Amino acid sequence: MNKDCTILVCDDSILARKNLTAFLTGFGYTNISEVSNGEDAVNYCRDNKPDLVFLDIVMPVKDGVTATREIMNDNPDTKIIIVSSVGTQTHLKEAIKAGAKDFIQKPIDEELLRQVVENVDG
Amino acid sequence: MDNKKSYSKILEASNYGHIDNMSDFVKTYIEKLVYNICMYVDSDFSLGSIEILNTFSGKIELSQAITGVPSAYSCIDGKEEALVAFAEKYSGLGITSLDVLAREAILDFLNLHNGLFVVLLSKKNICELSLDVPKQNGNFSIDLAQYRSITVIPVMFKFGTVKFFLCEV
Repeated sequence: MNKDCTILVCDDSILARKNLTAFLTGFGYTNISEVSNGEDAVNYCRDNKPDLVFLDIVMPVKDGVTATREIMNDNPDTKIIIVSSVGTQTHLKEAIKAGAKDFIQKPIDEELLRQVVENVDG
Repeated sequence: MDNKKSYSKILEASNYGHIDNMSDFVKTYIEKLVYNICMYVDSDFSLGSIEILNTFSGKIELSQAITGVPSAYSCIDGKEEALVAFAEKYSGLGITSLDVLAREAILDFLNLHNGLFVVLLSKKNICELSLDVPKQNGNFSIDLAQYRSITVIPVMFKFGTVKFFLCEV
């Protein structure tokens, strides 16, 4: 993913958003926005069409898998990466089936995150 | 300090293996909790006496439900100073009072721990569970009318004791 791409980070945890944004900024990405639930992510994506979206699964109002389906329905070119503490096979399958490109288990491993972001276009 | 070594020693020094009628679900939860605290908060702690309670009430509810079969309710409680120090140890964000950020940090740890617990059960092919959104509320009470068992796990740090509760539905 190019360093000038637009990124949305969606997590209900302030800490999780802060950590993920710090990692991405450290990698050289600067166009990063944040929202705190799936509904806001869907609305943000409709209005702004970000290139890359990070979604947690367990969130208020709308969960990450449902948000993934809706975002992909609106804009199938969006690259979505699920970042969650609930990385079971069941959740992973649901996320990929909904259209997510990848799944990262919390706590985030910085190097793994870098590899996933760099290769999400592939 | 070697976190894995600390983890085993902390469990061995506690009464965790000597409680009648404790389910494997609760035992696994305690093992994973001790491991996750060592890994992500602080390995310099011991476990207080783990007990099965009939009822419990607190002033601030910091909780998360584990859903599926079996379901459970988890929460964290403790004196304000201990909760603040715990939040700061975990987050490193300069937390000095039990404000929104402190409560968020505590719930972030609970969500992380519960998530990793659910993943462990899934990997061992024991069961497939999920999590509800973490909750913050005011006064709360739990008792055996709502839950099959209430287990309190006191985690004694140098800065104070933080109590973890796991209630089986």
